[in-house]
Amino acid sequence: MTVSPTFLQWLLGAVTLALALLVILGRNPVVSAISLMGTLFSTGLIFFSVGAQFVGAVQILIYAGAISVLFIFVVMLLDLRPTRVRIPGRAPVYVFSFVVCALFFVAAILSVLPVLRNLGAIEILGLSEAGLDQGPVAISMQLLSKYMIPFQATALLLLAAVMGVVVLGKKNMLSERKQSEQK
Amino acid sequence: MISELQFLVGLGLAIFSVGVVGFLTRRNGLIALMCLELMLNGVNLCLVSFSRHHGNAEGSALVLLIVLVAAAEAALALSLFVSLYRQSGSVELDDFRLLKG
Repeated sequence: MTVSPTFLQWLLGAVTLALALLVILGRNPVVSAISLMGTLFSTGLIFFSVGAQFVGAVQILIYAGAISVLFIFVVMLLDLRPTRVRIPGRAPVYVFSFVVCALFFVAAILSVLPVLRNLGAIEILGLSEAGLDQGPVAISMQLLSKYMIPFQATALLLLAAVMGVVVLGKKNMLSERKQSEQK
Repeated sequence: MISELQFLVGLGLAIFSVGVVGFLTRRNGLIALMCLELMLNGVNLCLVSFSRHHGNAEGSALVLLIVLVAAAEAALALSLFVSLYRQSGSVELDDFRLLKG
């Protein structure tokens, strides 16, 4: 017996896809940023609906809460003008990228399909019902055993990112140093 | 009738594809960055649904690592665009051809 998606999941999926399309079709970057926030939020709700509550909470807190607010902040700080989505003379680029993405989508679905069929067989045995533990304990067991090195590497990555942001944020560091040397 | 896993993986791949189309077509640097986040989001959705159907938390652990990397990437790229805007007053990617001979 396979589990079919619930009505709520169909609804959330449609909302997520519509907001994702609004991100790339909106003329105003503010509209794009706010619909990105909506996309991330409704993805978090989908995570809740499949029983991954902890990941859903992290998604909503960090992604929809912090990262997309950073995007909205920067978009409003820079005071960008609404841009045209379609620029004349670039039609080949649009056609090419739509064709490439359609091909990618079909190829990805086809390559995943055998795996999905096998997993359907597993569902018949009821194995997926047995272990649905995706709580903080199960996730941190994985992070602190099998993914220990990547987990530690993200600490270094975040440190490097903080230092990089500080260096980029300082106004004209190099020219200031030159001026102070001339004095 | 499609199963829940097929639905979720199809949705994740669709979001990824929307992100790729946007990244290739939009020339505003900030919107290109948002499309990058969309792609990561699609991958997260696939990982969580596979994790659920294998019955272990490996996919969810990978999603946490991806969220951390995405946070670092967004912070760095946004500050890069802010300093580019300070220098040239634009974040259109077509305006930056400094390395073109």
